[in-house]
Amino acid sequence: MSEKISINRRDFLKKSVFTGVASYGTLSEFGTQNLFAEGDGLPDMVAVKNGEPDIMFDRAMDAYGGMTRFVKNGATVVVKPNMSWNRPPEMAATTNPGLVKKVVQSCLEAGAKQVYVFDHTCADWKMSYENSGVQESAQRAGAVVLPANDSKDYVAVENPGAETLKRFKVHEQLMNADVLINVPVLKHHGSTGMTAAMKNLMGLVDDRRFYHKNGLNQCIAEFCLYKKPTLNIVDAYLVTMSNGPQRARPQDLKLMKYLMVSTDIVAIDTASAKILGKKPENIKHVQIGHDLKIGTMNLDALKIQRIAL
Amino acid sequence: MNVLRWIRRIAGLAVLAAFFYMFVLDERLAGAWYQVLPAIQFVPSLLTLIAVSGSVFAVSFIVIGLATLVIGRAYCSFLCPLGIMQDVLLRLEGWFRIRRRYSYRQARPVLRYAVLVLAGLSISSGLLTAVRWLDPYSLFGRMAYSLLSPPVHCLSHWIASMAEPRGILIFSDLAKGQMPLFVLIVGLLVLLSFVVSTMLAGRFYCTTVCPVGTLLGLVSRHSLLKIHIDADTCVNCGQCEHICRSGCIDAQRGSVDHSRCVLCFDCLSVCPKDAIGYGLKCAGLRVTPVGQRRKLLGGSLALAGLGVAPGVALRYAGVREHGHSPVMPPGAVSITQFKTLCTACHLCVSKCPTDVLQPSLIAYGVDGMLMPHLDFSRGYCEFDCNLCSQVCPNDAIAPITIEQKHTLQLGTVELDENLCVSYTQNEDCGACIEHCPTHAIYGELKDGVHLPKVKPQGCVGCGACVHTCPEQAVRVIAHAVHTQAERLEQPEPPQPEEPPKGEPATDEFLF
Repeated sequence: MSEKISINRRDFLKKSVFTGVASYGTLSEFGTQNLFAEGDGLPDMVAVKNGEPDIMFDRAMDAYGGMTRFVKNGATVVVKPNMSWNRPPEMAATTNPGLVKKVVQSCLEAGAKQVYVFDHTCADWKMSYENSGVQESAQRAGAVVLPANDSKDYVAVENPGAETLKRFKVHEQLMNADVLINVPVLKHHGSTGMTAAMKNLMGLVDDRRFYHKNGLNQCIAEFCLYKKPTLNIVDAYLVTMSNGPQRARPQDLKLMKYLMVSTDIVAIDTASAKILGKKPENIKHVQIGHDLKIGTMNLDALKIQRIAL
Repeated sequence: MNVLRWIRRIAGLAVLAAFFYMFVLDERLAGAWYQVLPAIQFVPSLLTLIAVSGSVFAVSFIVIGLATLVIGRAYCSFLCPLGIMQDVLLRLEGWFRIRRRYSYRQARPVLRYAVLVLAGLSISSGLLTAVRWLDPYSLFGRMAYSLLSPPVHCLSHWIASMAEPRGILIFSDLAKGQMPLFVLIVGLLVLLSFVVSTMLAGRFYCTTVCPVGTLLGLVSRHSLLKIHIDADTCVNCGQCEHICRSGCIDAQRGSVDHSRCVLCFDCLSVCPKDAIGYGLKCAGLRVTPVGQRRKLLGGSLALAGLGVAPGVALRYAGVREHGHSPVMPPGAVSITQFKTLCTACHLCVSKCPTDVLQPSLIAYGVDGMLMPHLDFSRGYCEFDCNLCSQVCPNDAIAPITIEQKHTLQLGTVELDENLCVSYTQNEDCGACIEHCPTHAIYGELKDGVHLPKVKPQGCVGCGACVHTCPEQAVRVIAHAVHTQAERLEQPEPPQPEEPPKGEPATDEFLF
């Protein structure tokens, strides 16, 4: 494992030296603009590819104005990874633990008072938290990992804009938090075709059966009427292309080496669908999200910064 | 100071603490050393021999027998959790002064041997009902699980609620769902009967009812080391008789019934003249006359027969034909074998991480009351878990590997399309599809909806789909004999709907 990482690091170093030299001229124009411009100058989405998750995250956040743009000093942050299944990290049914660690660290470095990490898991929560490796990496980074499978930890909220998901219960820490950072893993999904940023938010809700019973895609989209994440970070490093979400075979996995960050949850899911080789309009909750104006599927209208490492 | 009594007390408390830890505290003892303790108990060890699982613990009951031949019934005070529990009750009752003063009781050989014969028949006939209600280890296990775990879990809930905000999750491990009421009631009734029996007659259960005690008593009356009263020093004060929890000291005659003595060593402490010792000295052995033996044998057999009859009647009266067979834990092999080996000690129930393993009421028939079954309203059987098969001391849940479990079929799934959301409302639901570990339930895209379809041959019967289904549209039809599930061929990954522009490792993006 450590050997593999060191090789990757070496690769990265080599590549970054080359690209650094080659793009010296462009960086001096383009890079400074990103560093100093606020608001308008920043892209709507940053997509990075061909790197390790933690390194891609650093590059993406640099281009996106840094974590301080989202996490203010003294803020309470909820980081919501996908750690919903009792699967080892190498099966990528859950968010890359290294990425979660990096996200938590970056929130704390930005001045977060407290970072909470939790997920209402599908499989047994203790096994999922432990075997996905996410609990340990989040704790090591300084986050407080909370269980989220007990109804007593949830509070009822109203969602007036919604048609179906009008009243539901969300985790109490979400109510207290200033910032929600959504860190899903991109996967094929047997129920919805795809799971990425929007679907991942189901892990903040108490009654998942309600979703399944009353129009899964509608409910997934309508949650965003209640709360949109401050920032979405999609882990598309090792992607489950088929037989998702949890018991894919090794041959169902594809090493795509992507990572996207965006505040637009519909846009980031649209890009995710394309990585999965699907038409975004066929992923119903994404289409509903677009129709409800939660975000846009029209990627051409957005300023997307693409960084190939 | 009486060293022997202190050794007994310390060893007893240590054993009881270990059992408490096992039944109540530690959720995942996978492969730990302390699972040895249930496995070396007399009845579990004996049953392991019958299970022919090759477990080394099968020799334990022979070792206990041989040890009894040398030192007497030390098992009953040093290793048996029920015996030690009664000692604790006796101590508590002493503190509250609600215990009767003991006196010598006549042995009740007919009752004792009848119970022993009944237990023997119960094991050899495979109708384990009698043993399920007589085996001291299982009686204790059920009480520990049903009576100790609820308060401990309440407490841990409370501690966890304070610890969790600080990121401490170890106390959260213990939080479990509510226990079925009948389990609690049975536990309370059994405890109550032990409180009463100890109050009135000390170790009455151990000296008169317990089949293990009676069997070891047959050996211990010939044991090498014994309690003996030195007639020359004895002043017939009777203090030893009054303190004897087994009621086996006859101070008048200066004799001890070694078949009932559980070696508590209280008499050694209480004797003002140090007339009582534990050692090689042999007091004259009283042998029952032959004529009386015949009567004993006849009486015992008749009583045992009376005990067997209702069991047989229950079993063949077709009680368990009602409804479906219960879903048995992976490793139970078949309903016949499981009923032959499981004493319902509830160690597996207390250990099950997903809470799916629950005591049953009459799912196995009245004769199999309290045996564990999979209750999918409580949880699902985790694909990558074999904890119950690791902890079962009887090998009633035979040891299986995770690899074996992946193709072990406990039952097969059945989908009722009339209840399924995807069919009735033409909406994506797919809860069963995403939870199924084997893809025995899979989604078929029709008019944009992922419709669940079933390949029962690939189903392992884990109930993940049943547990998660919002409309109870799926259920598992249990097998009476576990079989092999097929490893399903998965469809190859579908071709992308849009031809990829940028393959991995190029600098082109897919969007």
